[in-house]
Amino acid sequence: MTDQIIHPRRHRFLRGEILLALGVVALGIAYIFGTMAIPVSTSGYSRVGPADFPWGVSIALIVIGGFLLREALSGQWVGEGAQADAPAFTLVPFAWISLGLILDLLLIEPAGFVVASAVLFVCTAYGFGARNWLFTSVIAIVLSFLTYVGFSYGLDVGLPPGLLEGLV
Amino acid sequence: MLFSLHAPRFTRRAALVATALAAVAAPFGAAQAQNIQQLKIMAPAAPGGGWDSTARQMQSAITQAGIVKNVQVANVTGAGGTIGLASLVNNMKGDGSQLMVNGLVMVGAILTNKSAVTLQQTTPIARLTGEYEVIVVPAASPIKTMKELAEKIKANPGAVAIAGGSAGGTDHILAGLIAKDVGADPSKINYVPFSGGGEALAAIMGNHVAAGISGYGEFVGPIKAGRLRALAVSGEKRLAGLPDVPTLKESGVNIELANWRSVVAPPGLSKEQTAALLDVVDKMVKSPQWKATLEKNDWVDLYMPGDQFAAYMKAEDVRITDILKTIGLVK
Amino acid sequence: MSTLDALMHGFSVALTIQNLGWALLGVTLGTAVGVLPGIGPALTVALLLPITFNLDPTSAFIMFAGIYYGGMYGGSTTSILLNTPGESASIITSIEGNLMAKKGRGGPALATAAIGSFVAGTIATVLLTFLAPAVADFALRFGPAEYFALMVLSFTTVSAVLGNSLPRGLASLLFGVALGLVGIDTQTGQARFAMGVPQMLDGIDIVIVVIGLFAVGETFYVATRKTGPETINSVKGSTWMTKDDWKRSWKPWLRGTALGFPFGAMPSGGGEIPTFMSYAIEKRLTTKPEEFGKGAIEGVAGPEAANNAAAAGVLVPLLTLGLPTSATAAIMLAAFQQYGLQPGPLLFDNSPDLVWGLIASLYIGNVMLLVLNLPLVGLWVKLLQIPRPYLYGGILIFATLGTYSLNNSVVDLITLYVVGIVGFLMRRFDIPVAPAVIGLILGPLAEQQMRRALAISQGDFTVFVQEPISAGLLAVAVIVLLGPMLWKLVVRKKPAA
Repeated sequence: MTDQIIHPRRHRFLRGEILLALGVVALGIAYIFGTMAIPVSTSGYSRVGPADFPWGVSIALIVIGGFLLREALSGQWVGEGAQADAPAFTLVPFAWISLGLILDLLLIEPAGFVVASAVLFVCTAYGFGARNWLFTSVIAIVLSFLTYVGFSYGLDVGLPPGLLEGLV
Repeated sequence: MLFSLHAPRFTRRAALVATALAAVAAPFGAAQAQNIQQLKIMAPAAPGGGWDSTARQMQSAITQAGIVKNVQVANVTGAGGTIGLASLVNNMKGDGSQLMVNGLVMVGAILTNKSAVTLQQTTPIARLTGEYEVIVVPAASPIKTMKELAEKIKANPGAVAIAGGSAGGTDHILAGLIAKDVGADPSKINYVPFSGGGEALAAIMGNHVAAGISGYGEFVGPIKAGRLRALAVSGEKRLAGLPDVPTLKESGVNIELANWRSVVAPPGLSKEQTAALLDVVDKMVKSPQWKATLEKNDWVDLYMPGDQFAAYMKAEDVRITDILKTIGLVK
Repeated sequence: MSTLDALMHGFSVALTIQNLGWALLGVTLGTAVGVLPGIGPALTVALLLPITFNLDPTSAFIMFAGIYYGGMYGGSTTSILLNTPGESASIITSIEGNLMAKKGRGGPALATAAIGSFVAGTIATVLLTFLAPAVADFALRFGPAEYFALMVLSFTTVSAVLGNSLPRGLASLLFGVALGLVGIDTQTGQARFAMGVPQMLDGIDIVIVVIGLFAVGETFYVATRKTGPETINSVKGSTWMTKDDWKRSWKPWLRGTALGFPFGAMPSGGGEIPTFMSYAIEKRLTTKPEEFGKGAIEGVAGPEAANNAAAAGVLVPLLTLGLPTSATAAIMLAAFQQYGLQPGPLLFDNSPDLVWGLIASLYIGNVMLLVLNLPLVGLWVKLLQIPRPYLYGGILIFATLGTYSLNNSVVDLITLYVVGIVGFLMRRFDIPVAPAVIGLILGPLAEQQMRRALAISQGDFTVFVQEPISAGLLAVAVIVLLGPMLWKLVVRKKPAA
């Protein structure tokens, strides 16, 4: 859905607003399936069981999704990308930061907190336009390392150790 | 997981060999205890709770008494401790330097969370401490004795709203056991679960429910201040802190329940490894540091080591599973 | 007066060099953890508990109280400057506060937050000193039925933060409510929407949602807008409050205090709900309604005061009844028990040194925090001059650290990433973020309290209108919802008549 967000006027129907509205409807439908999977227990005196609120929320999601769709189709709902004075927009940084976050969650346990956080920092900084790899990497490692030391020894937070943490 | 680093594959194979050897090895007592250099204690709950404080008090008692130099505590939180349990059973097999704190509440959590692993898969080490439950009514309640409360529950269970902790927890279990013993239908009790943080206590003190059940520690202050009336305690004898309050058995309810806490080890340990862990725990329990800890925290000493504890844990597992099914919490 | 004598005695305990040192350490540490996303005072106290075991209890509690108050002060800083609140009680602050910062008024926003926190903290501590038993007894009159009514009333405050479209605001609210349904149902123990993931059984932690929607969502949003290399929110004009700022701030401070203190004292009240209410009220009462949504100082002053007053309110039931009403209070209770102390009426008789030393240290801590935080305003604002690549890189490190340290679980990091993308899309498509957090906090409370009340009444729905407090709260909710419409009708009819 990248293209549509960048050029909202290109498509009449494949716009982010419409996709989001449909997303809310889809969430509501998914919640109906989730609600049907809740075991309804017979015990209890409240008459309102574990599945009753979920039913209400699921249906409300679908209804609100419908209203959102109407707003989107009628042009009342215009996200920032389609506004005349909006700043230019690019998804490249989004991809870099996503990469950083995904690598962080993949690396934090096998490689340790310092490595994972440094990678996240470098990816994020690159996404924001920092091009000096060496300088960024040094800052990343120093900051992650100091954070690790501060939290592990100051607060006794059990952050996962890895290669670099063995130095302290 | 956090601990996967410490459990390389070869130890697992070594453990399997060790278990096989142990099956034909000398009886338990004769096994030579190895020296443990480093001990890891897992608290399968967030910092601040009962299991966490048990783990951290063990840590300080063991190090201060000089039994093991290096003791680390790690929290593996979530799903009533069953995430920690799964980690112990699946990722730490054969690790003779690992302990996990657990207790009665985990039996219920295994059922409600539909946990794939059970306590039977662990290596039981010892029961350590526990806390007895107290049954109370608001100070303004017309109910004066446990007998009166039991009769009310029997006559019209719906009208007696009982406040306590989470569904399937110790308080809920005791409510079910009492109902069953006095001849009421345990599936008909009007048990109202409150989340932690004193919410149940507030509901009872504010006279919004008919009765309440919780651990001694949570109720003792308001009872002594006259805001709650204690009807009975769930121990085998009266509690030192509440000498005027009868036990359930004295009140004609043939139930005894302790919210016990214990330590277990991963599966697949050799007799020697088990003996070494038992030895550490035994030395800790007998240390003056641990005795001071028990006194300071008002914990009841329920030390029960080894095979005896294994049998006890099995029996409790059966009893608790049965009552939770009778209550209708799980099918 | 015996209370005054006791308080004076408390000051003599708290004013020793040693205890002043602990208080200073506590407020500094508290401010630091408050500024970092996800590392709240509850976690800090819990982690420090075993370390302080060998300390004298009075000193330990003086330090804990400092951490607690300090966390409340520090929480507003990043919400105002970076739109990345670290805990749920300061999300409301971020709405107007960050808009002020974007207009170069970050200094006054931080100042009104700090001074408002001081005013609220001090007044609330005075109330704690003199009114504690009465407030505690009133709070006990709230049972499940009354709480449900209170949640309904709180839901009406969402209208103040809905933004310019009802469907979009409600979609955000419902998203929060829907997230709140995930996990074990506390009333029956049945799993809901956990999708077979054991880590989901405890529900989705509110801290993760706040960090994801705000810190991660904001980072994505800022990164994808090509606005050139300039540093953000360069401070224009004075970093100090103008005369007009003072004039517009003092009433919200007082109103926020009046809301926050009683809420803090109620079990399941907490610090968030009074901030929602304070914002809704200030938006209605302001003389400059056109500034709301563009950086109105009242929208910072009120909620920040409410938040801090609630923090003091929490200590009322804790000290007088032994009743913890927030996560931090529950851990403080554990700390009391670790020292063999039982909070409650008897604590005042048995350990007057500790109780009154603690209360006196709250006064001292408040002064310390003001002295510490006002000069820091200038320094915090300089935070914005860090080049953006490094600033946001650092924010994400702390965001992931705070999230991971909750449960040591990678599943939480996945949740953080997904919620972060949702937060980004909501910003991009002009959907307000605050209602989602309100829904996540209030939804589960409303549902559980309603079902508890119905269990106690054995399924009788009239219980909500039979109790006077509950009926009164529901009536106020109806007036808040329908009142403006009726008012318009009356006003429109008048000229015609």
